[in-house]
Amino acid sequence: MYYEIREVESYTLQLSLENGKFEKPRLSRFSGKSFRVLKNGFWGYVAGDYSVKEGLERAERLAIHEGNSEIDDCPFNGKVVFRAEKDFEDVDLEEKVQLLRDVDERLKREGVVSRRVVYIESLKRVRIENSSGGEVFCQVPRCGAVLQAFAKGKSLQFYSERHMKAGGYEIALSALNSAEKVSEIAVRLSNADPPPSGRMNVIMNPSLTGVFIHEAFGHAAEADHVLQNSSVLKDRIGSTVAEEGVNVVDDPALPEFGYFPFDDEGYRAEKKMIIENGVLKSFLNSRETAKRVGGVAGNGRADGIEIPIVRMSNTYIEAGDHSFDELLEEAKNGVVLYGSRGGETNPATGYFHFNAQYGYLIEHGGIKDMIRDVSLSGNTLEILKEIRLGRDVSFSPGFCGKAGQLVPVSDGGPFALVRAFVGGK
Amino acid sequence: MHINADGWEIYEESVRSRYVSIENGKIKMIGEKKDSGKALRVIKNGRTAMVSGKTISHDLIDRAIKIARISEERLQEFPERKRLKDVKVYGIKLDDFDENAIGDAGERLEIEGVSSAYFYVEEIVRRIENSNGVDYEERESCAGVFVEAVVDGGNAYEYQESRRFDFEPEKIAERAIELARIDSRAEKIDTGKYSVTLSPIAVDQLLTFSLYPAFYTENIKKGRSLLSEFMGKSVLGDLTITDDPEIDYGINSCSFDDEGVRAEKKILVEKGVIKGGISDLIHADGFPTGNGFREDYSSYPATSPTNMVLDFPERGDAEGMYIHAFIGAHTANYVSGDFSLELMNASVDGKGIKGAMIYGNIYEFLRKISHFGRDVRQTGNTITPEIVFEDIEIKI
Repeated sequence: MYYEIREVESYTLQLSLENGKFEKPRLSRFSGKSFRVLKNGFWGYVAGDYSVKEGLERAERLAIHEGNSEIDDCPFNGKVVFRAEKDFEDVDLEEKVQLLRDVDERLKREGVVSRRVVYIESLKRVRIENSSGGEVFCQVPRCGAVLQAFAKGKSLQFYSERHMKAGGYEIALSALNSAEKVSEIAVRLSNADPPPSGRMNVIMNPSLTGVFIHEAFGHAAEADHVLQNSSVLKDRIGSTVAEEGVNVVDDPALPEFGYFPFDDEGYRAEKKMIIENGVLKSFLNSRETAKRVGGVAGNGRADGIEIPIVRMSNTYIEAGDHSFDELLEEAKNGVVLYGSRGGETNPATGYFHFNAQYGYLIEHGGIKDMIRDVSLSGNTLEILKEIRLGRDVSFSPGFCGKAGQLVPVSDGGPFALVRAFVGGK
Repeated sequence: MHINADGWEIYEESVRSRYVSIENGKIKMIGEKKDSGKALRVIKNGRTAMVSGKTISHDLIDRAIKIARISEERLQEFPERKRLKDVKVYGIKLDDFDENAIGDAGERLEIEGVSSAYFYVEEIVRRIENSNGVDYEERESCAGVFVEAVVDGGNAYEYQESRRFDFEPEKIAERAIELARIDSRAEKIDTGKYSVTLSPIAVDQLLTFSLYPAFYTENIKKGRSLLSEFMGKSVLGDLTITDDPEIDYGINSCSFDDEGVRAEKKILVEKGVIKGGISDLIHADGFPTGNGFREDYSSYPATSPTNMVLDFPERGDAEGMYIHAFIGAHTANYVSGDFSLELMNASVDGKGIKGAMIYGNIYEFLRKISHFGRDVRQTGNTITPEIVFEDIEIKI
């Protein structure tokens, strides 16, 4: 019998400035425990505030069937406390509110009808021990701000940016620099027209490339989908799934928003090459999927005391060798799209759909009018077969939802030229 | 516990649940969860702040008051006690579903073609108390099944939630498998205009993200909704929309919201004419509609619909292209009403459609309703039958 005990403590402070008014201040503390037992290949899982003895007894009582689950029970031991440059505990509440006011002031502009700035700080402490002798502890602070401007011109539009990472108050301070850009784009967007629709050349900016690789490809590389028979990548390890030169990586060790030193199964986090030179090298794994599908565990993550499932961390496409001008020249006609309003994918078929925040028409290799309300869809594997990559990688933070659980992640990549379906009028 | 504030409110939520999960046609895990917590809101000089935790310690109370002093969230007082309506929301006992009973329910989903599934039973007790005399408590129950199916590379999902165990899990699984089978034989179709039937799931996905937030008083006041222009005008054809928390065993039915405001039925759209909005306490200008809800005890109350009941004068059969669900519904823009979505499990005459998109503006789209179907079902916040639209452009 294998067992695992997890204790989670978290703290979150969220402060919002809505049109200059300090609203919805919220401070929350959470603590909880979970216990799981694997017996006869079947899992029993208990989340609740029980003693170790009672929690494990309850979990064992639930493991009443026989199943085919197995796990890599490799024990890890260690303690990691992530040190921020500027601890948010040392900054007064008044100073944090003043930062929001400074950002808000820079969001003001003719045409902007509504503004929102949100400051978030959180601290998560997790302790995990298992029956094979592993015991790990980690403490990770996360901090940052979300900026949003609504503008009214020919239509009502909004633009937003998130600046969040593992770290301290220094991350939130960096939001000051982008406030003017946020309001400027919102105003221009409100006077933009919808794009033409149809299959065309699309240059995705780093943030959209990141969403693409996370949504459209990363989810299909999660090995639980392979076990459920619901991944288009099932049986494809070792085969070519992308153009030569394409490398896709998941790296929880980067100090981005998806950082963690040990996953929520107490397994040491490490960098994984998912695609290397166009070839599918490995899936992302939990302790169970690593044993059953093959591969290395370390991507089992949980929202609070929910059950850990296979998740991404900081996922990105490595840089290529095209300059932005070269990408434009190669595209000739089409669109260049910036930022994401979220997306969704079907890992079983590889079809994806997401919306960009804004974009521009490309005509004869030059950037023309701005476009709004633009969506992008297609089939992942078809797109990866023909992709041109730019030179610089950058990351965007977000919360990824799967099976009702949200975890912090980041996605990244360079500018990338693909052929996809653009939706508009 | 002494709270040195002009007004206070304590919201408490206890959740107990038991569930079973299925992987690739085989039962894999039984789990249970027991969690509870409290949130305190205080008013100090007309300003409010919120803190939450497993318990409300003296330290947390002090933090709440400190934050409230500089908060600009204005609130004069918490709601007064009123006589609540009697709404039935408790229809299953969790204690009747021990590990054996939950396991039995899981075995009903051990069907070839089910790639993943879960079945759960949950009991929630909500309690709210405030300095204005409110002290309400409600025990509610929920059971649900979610099934994802994969057949020959085709894929689909289907789900059902209810306050009672009044559904058959295997029927939900069979429907998902049938949709996946149709999807496995999907083919491309031509771009063009079609009569389109949206399933209740598709209707809920579309309206939840493109329309419902436009009814929130907060969005109307902050210039984030076109309804400020449309109020009192006929803009949605013959459609009627009611927000109704008073339906017995409705998934989002309740007798009071998470801020202690009595829940009541409201007509939002009557035969196409926009009649009103919904609001939580803070954005209500003194007239909250009983729509302040918390995702869990630690989240700030925010406006949310209860059961949105859709109605239309004409009833008839499904026609043309049938759309079961959308991919990316949350990308719709409720501010402008624009959406462009990928279809999931769409078919024409039982033949699956591959890689098609629908796009438009929700206000124009809802004027193209031809008729409603006959079998009403609740999915998410929406109670509706299938809806048939005419002259809808589908792009490939």
